[in-house]
Amino acid sequence: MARMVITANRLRDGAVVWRSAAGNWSPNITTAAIHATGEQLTAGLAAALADEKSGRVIGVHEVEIETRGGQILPTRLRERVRADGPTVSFA
Amino acid sequence: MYKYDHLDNTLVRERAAQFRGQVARRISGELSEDEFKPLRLRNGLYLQLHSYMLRVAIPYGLLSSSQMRALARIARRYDRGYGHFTTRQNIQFNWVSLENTAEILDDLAAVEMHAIQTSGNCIRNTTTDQFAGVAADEIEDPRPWAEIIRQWSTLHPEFSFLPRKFKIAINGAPNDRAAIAVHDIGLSMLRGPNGETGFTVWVGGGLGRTPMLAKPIRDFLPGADLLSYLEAILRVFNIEGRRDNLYKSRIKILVSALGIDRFRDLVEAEWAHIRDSALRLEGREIARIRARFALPPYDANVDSGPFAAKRFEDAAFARWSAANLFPHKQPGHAAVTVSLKPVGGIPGDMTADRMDALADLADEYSHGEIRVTHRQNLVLAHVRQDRLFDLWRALDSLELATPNLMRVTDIIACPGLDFCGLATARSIPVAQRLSARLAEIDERHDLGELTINISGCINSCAHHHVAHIGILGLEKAGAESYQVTLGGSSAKDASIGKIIGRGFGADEIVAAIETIIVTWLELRHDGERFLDSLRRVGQTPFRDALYGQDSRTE
Amino acid sequence: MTLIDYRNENPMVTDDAWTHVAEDAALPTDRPATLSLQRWKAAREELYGRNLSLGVRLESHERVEEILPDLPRLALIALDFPNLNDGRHFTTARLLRERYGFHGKIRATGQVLRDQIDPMRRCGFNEFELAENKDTASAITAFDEISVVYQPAADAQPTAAQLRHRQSGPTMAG
Repeated sequence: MARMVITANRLRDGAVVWRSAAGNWSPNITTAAIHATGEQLTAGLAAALADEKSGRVIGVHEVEIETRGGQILPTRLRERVRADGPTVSFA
Repeated sequence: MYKYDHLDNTLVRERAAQFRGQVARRISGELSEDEFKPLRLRNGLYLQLHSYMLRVAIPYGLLSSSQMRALARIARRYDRGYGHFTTRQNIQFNWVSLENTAEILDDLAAVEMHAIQTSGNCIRNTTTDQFAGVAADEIEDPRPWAEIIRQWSTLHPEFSFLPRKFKIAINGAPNDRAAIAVHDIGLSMLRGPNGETGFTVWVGGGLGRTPMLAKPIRDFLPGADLLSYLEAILRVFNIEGRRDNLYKSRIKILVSALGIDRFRDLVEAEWAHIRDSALRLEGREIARIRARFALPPYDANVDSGPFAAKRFEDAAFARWSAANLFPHKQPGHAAVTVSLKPVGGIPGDMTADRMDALADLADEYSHGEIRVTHRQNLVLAHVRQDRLFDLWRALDSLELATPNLMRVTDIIACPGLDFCGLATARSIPVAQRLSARLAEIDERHDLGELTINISGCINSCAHHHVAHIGILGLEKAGAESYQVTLGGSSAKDASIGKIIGRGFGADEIVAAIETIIVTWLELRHDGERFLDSLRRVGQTPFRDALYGQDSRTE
Repeated sequence: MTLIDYRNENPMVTDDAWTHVAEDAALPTDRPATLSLQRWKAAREELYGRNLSLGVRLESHERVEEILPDLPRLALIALDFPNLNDGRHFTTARLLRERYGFHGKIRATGQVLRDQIDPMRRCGFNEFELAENKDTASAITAFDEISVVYQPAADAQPTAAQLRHRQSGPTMAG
């Protein structure tokens, strides 16, 4: 299985957050738990969806990643933009 | 412009309080996200990639200087110091928090603004010509009618949960500057045999995944019957429109499935029941609303000599005057387009500081009024010609005087994958690179009128189908891919652009557009618009230039 | 089961006296009952003889035009909302009140949230069964949230335009 991390947006302010092994949601992808097996991912998603149900986060989903030089990099551009912010300088 | 009375004020304040309650019930867990989403959307609150986004209604694009200053305050206090003007003449704040939205709505209500029905499956902000009321070619000012539609559609109890969103545009001149052909309902004003106000009604236009031009449903609708006829159309749509498939639920699909004649029969039958109801507009209510759109007092004796002299003396001013001024019905005046498209900038973005500065300029030069255009620019509609030079210098110092209206750098772009949760590719960086490159070519060759619109997904927020050159960003095999359409127009000669061929990668798209333009320059007749050349020669020369003649058999 | 009864402009929470009879269940003999459109159409002749209040349930795709001749015999029409996005019965209710002169109860059933019941009321509904697990008691304040209306509907509330011209000038004839 491709390696996966779990992400969502925080309910109160909409910020992008990533789920750590301890079950915390952090804006920093570097702290995200990496799931290498289907069982790990299923368990992680179940816990994340419980957080969604309780209203901490919304839009829970898994994201395929690769690691390069210790960095976690989502493979899809959409998720890289979510992790790093807009690719353009604004305002 | 329209000024709220205590009833309008009460409704907007109550709606803000109602939304505050809905947010509180969401945060407390009483509402699930599935339940809350349709509620927040119908009040303009989206969840995007990085944050919530609040879309604030600017009814028919009209703002006072004090409203603009309120938007600047909101941008500073609750966002990151800027806002983004949209193709629906609204403004979006990209970085707001759910917890702050109720406060923002209170701040908006204090200046007679709101976010009601800026999203959701309901009737959206009615749009119109940015030169309404001042255009020299106008039959009648459409804004009072847009306000009448705004009031009728606001919290309409029957049409709160339509099959899909619903957009109405109204145009008051023979030249269509409101893109009525690509709206769910398009209204075009005309005079009846006895000089009375009426509308030609069009229905079933729209873009998105199935672009269609609207079809005529009624040649002449008397003004007093406007709301009953709209209600009849909406009622038929509410009952008959598809709800099983998101992509087939717009009214254009219903009209095309039934055929316009059958659809018209249903509407006319419904209308017969309700035409003589309380929906019939009373003359005194029309008069009351019209009075609030009275034009400002103009000076009848403006000397246009200084304007001519300055154009002669200053080439940059002359160039801006040629590109960004629009003929005014009042002699000695002009409507000025303030470009939000600096070369290489983000289309439609404006900082809070510039909002404040422009509000000051509006007070000084244009009776305190500002309009938002569906091309994501702003307009100062009442400027004396003898003050244009001073205004231009002030705008230029704010980097708001790019002389590019309807030119190749006046690019319309949606926020795209940099911000939007629906997007499949980025729009803004492509717009920025194109703008920088094409500005040079325009400088050398004077490309004239040539519109480029870039949408970051098939929902077509940037209306790419009706641009002379349209660009649609998709995701192909994990990478951005840009599909090009040629030959669209949203003007009176409206047409849907045709796809030229296979898409281009993010690193190819600028070169591809340049190839199209270079190819055109070789076959262009003197002074010809790109669109007219294309209609004359067809797509083949462009396809050959992009893909080689060998591709013709494909 | 409780519901919101909006009668005489006065919303209150009441116990439901009605039974929604399932497709194959027997009709109660001692309390008012609603039937599906199918069952009503199949058995309407025989049901006409009963001395019992009856109602018909319409799913969101079912049209009230199918039972127009029966309206005088019906005490209640229940209009179902299968989800938050299906607003067809807002129109159905208005037609019942404004075109077909139905004076019985119009009840909203299914996925009914407090945020919909005020627009429903304006369209002619006067009974509301909220979705499961929703607090009926607190929901009745939803009717007080918006006091200004811009468009005529099935309720008697004067529109903003009517109020504006009521104070000034002569009233319209008729």
